[in-house]
Amino acid sequence: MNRIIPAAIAIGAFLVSLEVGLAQQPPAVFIKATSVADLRTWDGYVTARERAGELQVLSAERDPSLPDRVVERLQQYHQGVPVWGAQVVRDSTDGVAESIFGDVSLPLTISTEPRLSMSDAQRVLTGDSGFLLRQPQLTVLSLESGDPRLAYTGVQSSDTGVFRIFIDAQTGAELLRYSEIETQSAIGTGRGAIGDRKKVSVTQQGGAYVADDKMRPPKLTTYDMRGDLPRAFQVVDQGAPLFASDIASDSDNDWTDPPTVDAHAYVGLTYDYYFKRHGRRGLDDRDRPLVAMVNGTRQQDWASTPPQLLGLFVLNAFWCGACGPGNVGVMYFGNGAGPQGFIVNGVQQTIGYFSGSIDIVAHELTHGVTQSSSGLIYLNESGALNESFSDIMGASVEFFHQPVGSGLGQADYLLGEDTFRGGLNGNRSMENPALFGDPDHYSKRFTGTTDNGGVHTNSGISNHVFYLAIEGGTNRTSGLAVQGVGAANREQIEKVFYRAFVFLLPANATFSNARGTTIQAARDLYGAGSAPERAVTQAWTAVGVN
Amino acid sequence: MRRTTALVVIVVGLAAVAIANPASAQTRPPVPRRPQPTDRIFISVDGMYQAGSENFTDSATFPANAETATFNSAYDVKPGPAFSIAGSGLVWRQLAIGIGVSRFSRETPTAVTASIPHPFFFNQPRSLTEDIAGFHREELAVHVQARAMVPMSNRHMQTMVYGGPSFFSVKQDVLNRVGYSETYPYDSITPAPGQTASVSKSKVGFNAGADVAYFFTRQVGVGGTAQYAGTTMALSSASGGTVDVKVGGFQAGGGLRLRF
Repeated sequence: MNRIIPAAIAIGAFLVSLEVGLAQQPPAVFIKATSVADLRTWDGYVTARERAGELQVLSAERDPSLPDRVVERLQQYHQGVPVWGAQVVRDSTDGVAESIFGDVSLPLTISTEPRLSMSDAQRVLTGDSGFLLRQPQLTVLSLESGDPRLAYTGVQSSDTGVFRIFIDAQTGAELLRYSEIETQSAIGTGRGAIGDRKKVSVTQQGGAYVADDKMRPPKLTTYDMRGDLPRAFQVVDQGAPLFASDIASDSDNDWTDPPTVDAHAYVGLTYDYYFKRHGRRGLDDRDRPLVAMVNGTRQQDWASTPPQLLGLFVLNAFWCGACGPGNVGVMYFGNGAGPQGFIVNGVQQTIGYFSGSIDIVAHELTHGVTQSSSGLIYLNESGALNESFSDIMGASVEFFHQPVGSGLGQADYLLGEDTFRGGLNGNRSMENPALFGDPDHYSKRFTGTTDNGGVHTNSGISNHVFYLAIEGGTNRTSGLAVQGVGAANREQIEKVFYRAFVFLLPANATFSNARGTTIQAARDLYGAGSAPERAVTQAWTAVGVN
Repeated sequence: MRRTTALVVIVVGLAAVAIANPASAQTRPPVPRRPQPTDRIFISVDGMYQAGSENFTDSATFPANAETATFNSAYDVKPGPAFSIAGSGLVWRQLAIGIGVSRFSRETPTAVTASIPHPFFFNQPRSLTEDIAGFHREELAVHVQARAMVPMSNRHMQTMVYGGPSFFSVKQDVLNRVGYSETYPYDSITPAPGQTASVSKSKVGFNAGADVAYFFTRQVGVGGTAQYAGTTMALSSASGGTVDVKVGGFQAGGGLRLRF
């Protein structure tokens, strides 16, 4: 260990020399260690500074998704005074570091004796017309120039907003001021495609509001292509960047564009479902940014859309995992064709805004979840399972947020029923897949090559398993009855499928794998012989998957 | 106001009874005249106990998360000690004019209830109940008094009734905006420091009371007093309007008596 510390300090000093020598930047140490060699070095460095009292453990938490891991957050101190924002995060298993990230200052020399008393600081921070929400705290602030400065900081509220302010602890001069998050986010209202009024979490920017949700943990942004199909095409197919000016905006925070309102609200609600029901933090469980895109075409322009783009950008919604800023993935929602009728799966229907159905929005977001977890290959049976998991989570999100019923904005086992309207609403049924020509039994599965081997068709088999495991009933093909757990216990089956599809399934899974993993998940979660295990087992048997 | 007038009339009446030489005395056999007070200056220094002023409540609304948030504050005005000093001078027969000052300072713990709309959903407010300590009330009152000495046969005893206008100045800490903190998913809220203010107001009220003293020596004694001094004033409300607040109240106590 003794040999490691000098090496680490040498690395730190080298980094500092680069920084200071070139641009007089702050003498900071940037830590990013994930490889074994780096971890050995930096763990020694962090431990040495911890022993010297310069780093102190602020918190130690266990990540529910990785219960063996302990994530320590260490705060840098200089003579007992915290250095503002200077932290190191060390993730370890049984004391062995798995990753270390941080940005701390080299040991400091400035005095920690303030000339300003606490009451003087309070007076200065309060200002003429404000009041302090939090009492002043002594800290070491690293200025933009790199100079460390002993400062008092407090949070002041006044008519102009809520600000964190730093003042020099020797002179009282203001060093830094920034708005606290409360003033940046805003809650707007708008009407969705079915005329329902809902709230949207947005950001005030200048005199306008933009569809950038700052209240949820991940960055959640909705981009408005404003009917510019070539631009939407460039973004999706050619990797063109999205700009801040593309973000959907509204002047008075009373949003009037239904696809924007629905997409922005429903993506947020889907994130909420995953968080509340499964403890998952978004797409990758690490709050990867959520990006939605709407208005690739205007509804009235559907007829003039090039035929080769109609199916993708108008009458469709999709997840593009490699699109968007930093390739974080984009959920695209077409606007449909309004009152124009189509024959879809043999059914006469009108097709409205795809973002207007919460299950469609949740379906697309779930593709991102699958991509970040099991990675089910989008072909043949694994592709059908991929589609099915999106349908299952879509229905689950719908039941989580909407009242049960068959009307608009109500929860049922139809998919996309608020978008596809006609004599028969929706475009798939989990209760009776055959309504839309999909198989409800493995013996009826599509074995051709179109649609990647029938991924949107064969999903009906596992969709029906999910339905039967909850509601119970008899499979129309096999005639086998299933005793479901009941609607009041739907959470159990949702958790079983989530665990199986996110954690247990391999990327090239088959229906048989899905049977095995869901039964195992039911045992893991509720025990062997439990009602969920029985329901899931019976359901798979009923659809002919063994 | 009617109550004030009635009390003033009672006090003035008592004073009149106390200082009048009954006309009937002319027709009766002469009786020995009660001794006229020979001392002209009277001073009292009292420690008092003020019964609780009436508690008061305030409520306000403010826009939050595209709906309306509400909060109610119930201020509990605790009874407590007060201090009073008064002096008077005899101006005619048994009638004296005096002036007194009293001060009352107490905690006014506040029970707050609030309903804050959810940021993501309509009609799903989060509720908050919180007891806030540390709020104060300070009352300073200047009492102008007409004092009537009630003749007593025992020269060690001295009784006075008095009344008159009081000038109240009140400083009350109030909650202008409830504070709360919330974290994702925002389904509940927890108390946080709110926006507080200290509001001040002055208003004229009245006082009336009686004082009984026993003098060990010619000039020094002890005494007890009981009085009511109060008024109702409109303090600034968190809603931007005003809220009626009763100040003062019934006070009783005792202390040093001097006369010269």
